[in-house]
Amino acid sequence: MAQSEGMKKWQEKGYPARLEERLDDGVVRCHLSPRNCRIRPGQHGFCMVRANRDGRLVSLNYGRSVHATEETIETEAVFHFEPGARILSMGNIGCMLNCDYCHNWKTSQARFVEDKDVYYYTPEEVVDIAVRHGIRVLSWTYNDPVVWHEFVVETARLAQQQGITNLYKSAFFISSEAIEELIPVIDIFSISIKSMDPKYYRKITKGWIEPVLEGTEQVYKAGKHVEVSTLMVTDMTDDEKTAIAMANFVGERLGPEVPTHFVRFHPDYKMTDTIRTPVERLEHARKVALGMGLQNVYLGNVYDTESTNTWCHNCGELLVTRYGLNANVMGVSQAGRCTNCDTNVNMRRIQDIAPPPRTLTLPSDEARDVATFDWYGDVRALHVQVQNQSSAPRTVFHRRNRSGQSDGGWAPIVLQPGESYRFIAAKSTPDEVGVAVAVPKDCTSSLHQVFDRAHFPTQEVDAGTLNADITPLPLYVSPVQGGK
Amino acid sequence: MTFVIAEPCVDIKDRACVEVCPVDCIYEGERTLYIHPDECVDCSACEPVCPVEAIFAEDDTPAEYAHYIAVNADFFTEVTALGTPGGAANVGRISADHPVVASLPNRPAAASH
Repeated sequence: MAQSEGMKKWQEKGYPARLEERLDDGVVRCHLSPRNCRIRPGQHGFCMVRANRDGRLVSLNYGRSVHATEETIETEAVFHFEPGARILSMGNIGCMLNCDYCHNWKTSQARFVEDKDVYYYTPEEVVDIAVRHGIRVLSWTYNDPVVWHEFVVETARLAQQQGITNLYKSAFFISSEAIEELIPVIDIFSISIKSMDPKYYRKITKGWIEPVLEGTEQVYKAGKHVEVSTLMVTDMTDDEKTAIAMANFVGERLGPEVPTHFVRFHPDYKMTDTIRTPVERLEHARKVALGMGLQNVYLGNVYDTESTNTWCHNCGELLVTRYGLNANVMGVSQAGRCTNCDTNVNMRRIQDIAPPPRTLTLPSDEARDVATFDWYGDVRALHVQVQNQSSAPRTVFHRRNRSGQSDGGWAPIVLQPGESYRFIAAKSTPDEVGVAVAVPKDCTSSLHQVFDRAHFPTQEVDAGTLNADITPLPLYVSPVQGGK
Repeated sequence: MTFVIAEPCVDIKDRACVEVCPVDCIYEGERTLYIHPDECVDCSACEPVCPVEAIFAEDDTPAEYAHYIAVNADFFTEVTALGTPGGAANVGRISADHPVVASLPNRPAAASH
């Protein structure tokens, strides 16, 4: 953001930042990302959310976030930690990279963030949401958690004290000393390695590869649950060479049991003059990596494939079936072993986790409006945002609509007075046609289409440029090149 | 340290660097772009996106372009009275160039946009 553009409300208050080095003349150096930005008073660093205020490094996005959102753990490219678990996703503002194809550019690039899209949370509030809604995993995600370091560390510690698991989904362009601060509080690292080509990293992401690979190794060696993914960009990183290099990295510097995800790309941000990754290239990459000895290789953002299921690498037993962002555990014990041959399948479980209760008919205690949305094209998930406008608790229900058969019934969400809650509904079976939400008269609701996972949609249904084909996405127009 | 824009930019001015600069410290002269050494935060974003490889970290500037370290710095103090404006967007295009740049022969039109 140009300093001359004027300050937005979310940028006004600075919170004391960690990893600060004080230089002469009031200049500070930030040691959070490997950039080590040297920031003069009044300036901000590359991420645009860490600044020098009066000679001290401050965080401008502490507790400033997109709406907290309930999703499933599969959303975060985590397939080997309590499959199907509900998570509370927390995204924020800013990023230490600026990838040409960013799927979250409206929030990752702070210059595009508007005050109306910013929500304010305290660590206590985040933990309270998770506890009240029975969610056992906090996910630090979307744009990237690295630039939210202080809020992540403080909130994750609080969550940990409540028995909540912390998941960190990141491009992991982060310094080794910052990782040391994460290790005591984060349990799961889902790391997006953008490519194995150093030149690609420099040019397309504006970062560099070495610290990403070293950092991934650092958390793996610390005993954390690690999964890695690569966005296979059409004609750029969807080739066999990338698959081989990824398999080499995982097999040699991590371990063959580490789940590896090849993720389908969609055109976005500055890279719109291309097409989605052909699925057969992803399937081929998976075969290559499996052939090189990796035990768990998956496709991401692909629905109609068996390559999202988990089989026992020893006996071939089907362990977990997945459809989109949903999972069914078929053959994994509570100890994370194959129920057929007792092999350790690197599947970590959360004990005493219960699915939410469901009812076949809506209770008649109060009148509710029922809104429905049918899946179409590549839009097979939705964020539903509901707010209780009344002064008493209210219950919202949601269910899936299937063609010609009964479904799993209505799931309740209890909202406190004034509470706003956002959750994902993702297509869970091939025959599912859509979702229905039953909202009390004194509550409001809005629907936001999700296009691929780990993406925070800012486009509301019936708003913005909705292309009925495949792309309900905001359109990027370069402020410098005038849409060149 | 800072980053420096050298001769390959002259008469090209692609401005891909301007788009990725997070602190808006790349200013546009008549024939080339200039990085403000006091406003640059050393983040390294601009260097790889330059299509003509005109940008160098100050310490890695090739000997043949070493004088461009002063060309960039002096543009704001000796050549113009810009000082430290705190952002190029409000300044806009500046009808001036450092004498080193101004004295270069014009490149063929085909080389520019």
